[in-house]
Amino acid sequence: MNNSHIHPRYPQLTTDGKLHHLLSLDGLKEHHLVDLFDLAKSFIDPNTDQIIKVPLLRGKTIVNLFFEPSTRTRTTFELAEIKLSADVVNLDIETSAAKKGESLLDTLHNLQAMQADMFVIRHQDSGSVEYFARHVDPHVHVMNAGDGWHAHPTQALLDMFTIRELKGDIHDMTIAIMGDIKHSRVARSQIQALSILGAREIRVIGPRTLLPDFPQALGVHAYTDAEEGISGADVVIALRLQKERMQGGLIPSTREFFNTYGLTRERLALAKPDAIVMHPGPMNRNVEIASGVADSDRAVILQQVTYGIAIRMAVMSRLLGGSR
Amino acid sequence: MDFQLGQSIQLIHAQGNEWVDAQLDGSKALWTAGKPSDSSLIALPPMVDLSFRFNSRNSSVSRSRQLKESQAAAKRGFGHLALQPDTSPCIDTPAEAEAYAEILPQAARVHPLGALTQGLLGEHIATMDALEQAGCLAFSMADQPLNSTQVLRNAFLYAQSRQKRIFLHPVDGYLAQGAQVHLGPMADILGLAAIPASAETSQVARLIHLAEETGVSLHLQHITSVKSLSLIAQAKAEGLPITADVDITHLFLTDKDVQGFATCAKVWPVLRSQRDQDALRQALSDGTLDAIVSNHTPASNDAKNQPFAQARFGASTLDVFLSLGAKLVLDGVITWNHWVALTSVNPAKILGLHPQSVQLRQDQFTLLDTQAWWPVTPDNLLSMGPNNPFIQWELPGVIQQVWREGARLV
Repeated sequence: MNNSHIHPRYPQLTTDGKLHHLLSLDGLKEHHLVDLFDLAKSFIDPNTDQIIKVPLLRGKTIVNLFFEPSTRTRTTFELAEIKLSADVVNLDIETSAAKKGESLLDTLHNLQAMQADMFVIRHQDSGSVEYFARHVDPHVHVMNAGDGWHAHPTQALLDMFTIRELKGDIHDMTIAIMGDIKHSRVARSQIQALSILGAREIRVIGPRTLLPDFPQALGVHAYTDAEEGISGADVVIALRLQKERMQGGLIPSTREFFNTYGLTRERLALAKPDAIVMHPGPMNRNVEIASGVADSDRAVILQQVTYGIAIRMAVMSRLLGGSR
Repeated sequence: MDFQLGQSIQLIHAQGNEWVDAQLDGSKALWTAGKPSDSSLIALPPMVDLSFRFNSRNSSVSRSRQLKESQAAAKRGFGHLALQPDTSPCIDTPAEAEAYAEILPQAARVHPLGALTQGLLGEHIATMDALEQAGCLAFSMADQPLNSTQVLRNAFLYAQSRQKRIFLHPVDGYLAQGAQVHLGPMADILGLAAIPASAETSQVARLIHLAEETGVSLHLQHITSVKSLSLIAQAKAEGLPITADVDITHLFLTDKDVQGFATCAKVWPVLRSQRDQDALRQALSDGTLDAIVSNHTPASNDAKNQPFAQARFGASTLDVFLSLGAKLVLDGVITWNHWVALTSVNPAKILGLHPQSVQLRQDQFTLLDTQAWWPVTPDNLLSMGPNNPFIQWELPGVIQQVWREGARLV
């Protein structure tokens, strides 16, 4: 396979620094992100806040390849594809050849032979989407819809877009991310995006069983005390606590977790008075976030969902060469 | 290259060197006493590898693979290979041991390590005497953890009663579960499940305590971390019969080499930090480490060309082992005499081989040009395992000749 157009260090960029895949936010510059934000904004009707349908990707085929079950993320990708007028194929991997012993690479090559222009891939193993990207034909593009604990770049982009839309410039902000950071691809990508956009301080909050072991390697400050970590934050992001974490003995109980690390009204009161609350969904009410907080006017969780469609449209049209 | 008349060669022993003039006498090498010269040719005794595999862990081994791989090892300077017992089926019966112990033509001699427990399951002690009669010189759990301290202690007591050698890779089975890489910054960046150094150090301490209590001769395999080294040094200072080895890969690569999900650097035990590597290099010359092993674990492209989590562990290292030694010498980490001690004399002793098997003689030596360099490319590997993490490296030390029992293999 001829991959001479791909950057040797950053497999998602071309040698001249353009986005070819979106695998993580590694190697991306502020201008890449701002360009995607501007493009995303152009897909939102300023009067109604509704997503506009455009014929940008008419005739292009996008395959959604989900090795890990997902309804929400897959739906937003699919909606973005439909709004761009692309032809959409969903591959149900549970019943596909991958379960019958066909290798992942054979599956990919077969789909590629069916004239796909882009794959949107979610996979349970870190690094797997990068692996697929290395093996597709040069004209095919790959978008990461979440790989293991590694990256979920479109979620991070939509979160940044949301912050910019609702709060403005990220440079002077303190952002607190609460909950299971260690096993979270969302957190990893958010941290990378916030670093690229020059946030003043990125904090991660949780017990050490759920925090990265080397926070300095990620450029974040780690807090085991929720009150201390949340104090003075401009943005508070609560992450979903997966049930497996409790079963794996990383926390004693969801109740104790909520009592010590849940985003409650009392804790939110320690953040800046105009701080917004975000959550990538789906929420566990009264586990990582109090129902009252999730339903309050501080929460921007539903805006995130709408913006998620716009940002995915922006990435897809950028990768597939459509412009507006 | 054939000997020229009066070719000057330096013979390297574990202690001291000597110069000879060499020539061919018919089909044999002939050495006569010589004088120091500026020749870059050295002669080394056959190497003894204390950890070797023909295939990935838990894979079956065909006879042709066995032959080809042990012949490749011979051509790269190895005389003896200790085969880890995690073949499929594993080496826990005399029949399995005999299948590997057979002497093959123009090949390094394979010494199967017997499984310490039946099926490598850590529940029942294997039939050590029967396995020894079938050719097993020592007993190992390969990379399988032995979680039950009761079984471990009994295995030590039994082995001590029957004067058996035990090779163990210290790793905590619980902390190892699902782990892909070292617990360090790279694991956090890539989002990979990681194993802390304490998974090794806690086991080194456990094994040393049990060895002391039972009096068994214990060889610790694949040491990776700085803290383990101090525990081993302390045990040695107390006079315990404990020896230890390190994988050659760990002397050159660190956890940073998995950047970009590089499966060629996915090895077991995992690659650790730069600080660990510096300490391991230091321990080669201060006597803490007794041997360097290849831990050669060839794997097919299909097995390695996978998403990181699904790729097999292991590196194919037999082709570059001696050249990496030349690099250690060139970098001033050790001398050639250290190298001979670490890869021939000490491992022969640890495995219980006769000292003559690693004697440097004119019918048994490897002739190396220390100043010649070669590029490591997929085309010039002799091993069947393409999973060599040193591909694209340029390495010093080109093998000119290999002689075994009067026959020239290279």
